[in-house]
Amino acid sequence: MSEDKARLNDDNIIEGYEYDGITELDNPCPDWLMYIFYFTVFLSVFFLGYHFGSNSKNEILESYMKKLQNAQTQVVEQLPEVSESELVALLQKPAQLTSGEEIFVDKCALCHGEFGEGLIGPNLIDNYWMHGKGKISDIATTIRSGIQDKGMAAWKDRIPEENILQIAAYIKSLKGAQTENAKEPEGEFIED
Amino acid sequence: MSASNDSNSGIVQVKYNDEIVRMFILATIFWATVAFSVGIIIAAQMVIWQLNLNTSWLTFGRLRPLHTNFNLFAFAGNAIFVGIYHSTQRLLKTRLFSDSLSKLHFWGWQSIIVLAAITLPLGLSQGKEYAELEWPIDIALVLIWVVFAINFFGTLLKRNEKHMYVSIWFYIATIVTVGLLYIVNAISLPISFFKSYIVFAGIQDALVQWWYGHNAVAFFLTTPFLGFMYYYMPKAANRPIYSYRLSVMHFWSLIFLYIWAGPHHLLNTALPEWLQTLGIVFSVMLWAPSWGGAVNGILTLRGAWNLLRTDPIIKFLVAAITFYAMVTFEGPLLSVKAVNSLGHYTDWIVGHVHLGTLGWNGFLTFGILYFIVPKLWKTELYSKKLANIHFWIGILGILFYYLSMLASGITQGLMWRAVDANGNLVYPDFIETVIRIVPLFFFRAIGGVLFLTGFVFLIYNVYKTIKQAPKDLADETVQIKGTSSAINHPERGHRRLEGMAVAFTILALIAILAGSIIEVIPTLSINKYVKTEKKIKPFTPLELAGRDIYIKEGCYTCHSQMIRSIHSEELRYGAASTIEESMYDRPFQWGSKRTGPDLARLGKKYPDLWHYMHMENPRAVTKESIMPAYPWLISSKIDFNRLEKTIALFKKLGVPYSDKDISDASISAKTQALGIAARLKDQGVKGDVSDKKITALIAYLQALGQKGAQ
Repeated sequence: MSEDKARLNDDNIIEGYEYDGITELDNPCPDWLMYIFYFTVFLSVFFLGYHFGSNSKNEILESYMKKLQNAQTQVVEQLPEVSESELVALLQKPAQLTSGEEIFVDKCALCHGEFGEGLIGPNLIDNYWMHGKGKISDIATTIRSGIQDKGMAAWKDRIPEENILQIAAYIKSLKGAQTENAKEPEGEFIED
Repeated sequence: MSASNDSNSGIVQVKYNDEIVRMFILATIFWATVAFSVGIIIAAQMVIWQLNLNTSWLTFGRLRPLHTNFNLFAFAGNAIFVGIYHSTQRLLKTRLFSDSLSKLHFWGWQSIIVLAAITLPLGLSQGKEYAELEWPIDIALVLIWVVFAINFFGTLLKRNEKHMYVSIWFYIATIVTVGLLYIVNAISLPISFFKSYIVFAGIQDALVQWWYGHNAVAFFLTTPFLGFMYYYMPKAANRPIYSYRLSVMHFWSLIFLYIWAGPHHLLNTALPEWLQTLGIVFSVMLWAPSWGGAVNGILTLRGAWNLLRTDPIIKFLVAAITFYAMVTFEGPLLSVKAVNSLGHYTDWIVGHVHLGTLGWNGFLTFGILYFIVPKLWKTELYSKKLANIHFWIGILGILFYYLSMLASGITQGLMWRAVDANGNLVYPDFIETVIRIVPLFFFRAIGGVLFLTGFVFLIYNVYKTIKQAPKDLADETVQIKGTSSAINHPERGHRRLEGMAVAFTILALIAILAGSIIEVIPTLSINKYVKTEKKIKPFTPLELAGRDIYIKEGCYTCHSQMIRSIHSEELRYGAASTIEESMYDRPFQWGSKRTGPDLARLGKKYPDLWHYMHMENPRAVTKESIMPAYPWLISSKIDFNRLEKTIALFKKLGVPYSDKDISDASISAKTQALGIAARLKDQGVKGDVSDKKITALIAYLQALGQKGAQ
């Protein structure tokens, strides 16, 4: 406080200027504030130079996207080939099917019905197929890549491969199930 | 006449118009209550979607524009008129120019607010943030602003004080710039009394909108309030202003630099790179000039720090300045491209804005009210203690609000961009990133409730104060000694300028025009940026009808249509948006907040029925969705007849429609609608929806990103 008072005595009120009782002191702008200002101006000049010197935005993004896509394709290429017989074996594993069912209800039921009876999308309980020949690996392919024209999303980025196989097996296990309001069969009849 | 001249002694008697200030004070308090309450309602809607009540005029998309417009024009607007009319008369030692203009200003402004309160919930909106009001109200608002300007400059010209004090500089900059910004950003062509389209398209509109939007913050929420700080802080503390030289420096640098900063709202978008760069560097350079104001305000308290313990008014003012310093540091920080890529579209920005509005504008206004209400009602403040309670509850409210939004924004921003080693998004489902932050929405709502609770203490305190006021509230009268100045020596430089109101105003205008012209003019010839080999198909009449619904429902308050040039955005939404893709969009709908996902490439991603079910009840397709339901879109009809006018207007503005497109607009829309309705029926929708709004909206949503030029 006393130090404050002492400093205040050094402050000079600017004489002759008073506005509704308000006066002004003759203090300079604080040095540290001016340094901040010079610093930001320096940064700006530097940044402007950097920017107008190179137009690299798209190149950086493109090279990054290429790296990501490479990583994605590598993962797909490294996937072990799963044979249809291995997939069919899933049908005998209740834990796998339950897991598939859970994800199906969460993500697929919206369009294909809770029991696979079909809603926006076709029913999944008969032996008529629009895409592929009804093998579990065909179903998995459809889930992975989607059918863009018909509004079926590609799920490969959103559901891990392991789960996709479980869902495909679960769908296969629905064959012949009886539900009310099943949608009319669509596609080609393929005997199991 | 208010001033009587005693020619013998050279003494002039001036009677201030205090009545008008009292009226604006009551209006400020009234509208603040409404504006804050609407804020709490929409904050609660984000926690509990059921609070949208399945009612069109109560949904978030329509109430959010009401909240922003009310806080800007009703709360801050009236507060600005309180402070300017009160302090200007005293600083210039003269009564306001015209009592009748003051009255016209008051009632005109309140009528505009009432019109906003009616039209915005009805969905009559231009779809531009903080500028949603339809064209007749725009015109009324500009006219009343002109009335205000005449009243202010009239007062300035008949002043009895030679020099203009720093507060007056800020008022001049405010009045001139806000007028310019509002008019340019509102240039639109009507097709009816209730519907118009902005003339700017795509990036033009984006740039003009944020030139306006950012400078609404600068010249509506900053410069007038800095002027108030310069008047009320030394008045309340009874101390001289810390540094006159700092006042001069930071005033000119602030208004000159601020006007350039708008493009920082559009970083990493399709906006031309040079504009983004200007937006960044000018925002960064704003740091010191902004702090100049804060420093000058705080250091004015030197030698009177003890008041901070005892005087609630000083507490409010100092806290407000502190929040100002915080928010003007955060602003430049958020303008750095890398930081912006994380914060943009998230709640961080919402938190940033509220740190300014609640902390700086709110607290400064409250401090001023506690200071001038007793003076204008010629009594003492009813209770200092209640004012202190208001202060602490308010502070708590702001902290709750800001910290929860900061945490929410950074959390969601990090989740959006998280990519795993396989090159895939860690959280590919947008809803996962929403569920995580809903608890923070809850804390934000608590913050709002606290802030309003504090304000209720102010209402009660002011009510009690006014109640104990004497019956006779005569205008304050002062004796002044003509205009004879105590200055004998010839003046130079800025001091001289302070005596020249017209020259000062012109210089201020030049300062704000520099950045405006350099940034806005080049984009007006949009062809410079559009690659002509990229052909874009314009929307069909039905899609445009759907677009009007998208705007009416305020979808842009939660959804963007701009995939930024950032890898995680490309992974999530597809290729980055291009300038061409929105070149016919009036208004542009790039958005500023993603409570839901980006929609720039939504088209064909889901079947029509998905959209139908989603609009009817979003939970039917996304279990945890917090989006309101839009059942009225299924029952209300499309206005096919107005499409012809819309298409004709767009053709006039340069969209490549043929004459046949105009004459066939309604037929073509009906045909397209029949197709969609038939498909929906096939998939199990009951009833015929071919003339219902939902069909037009589905047509529009399915067209997003499907018009070429990726």
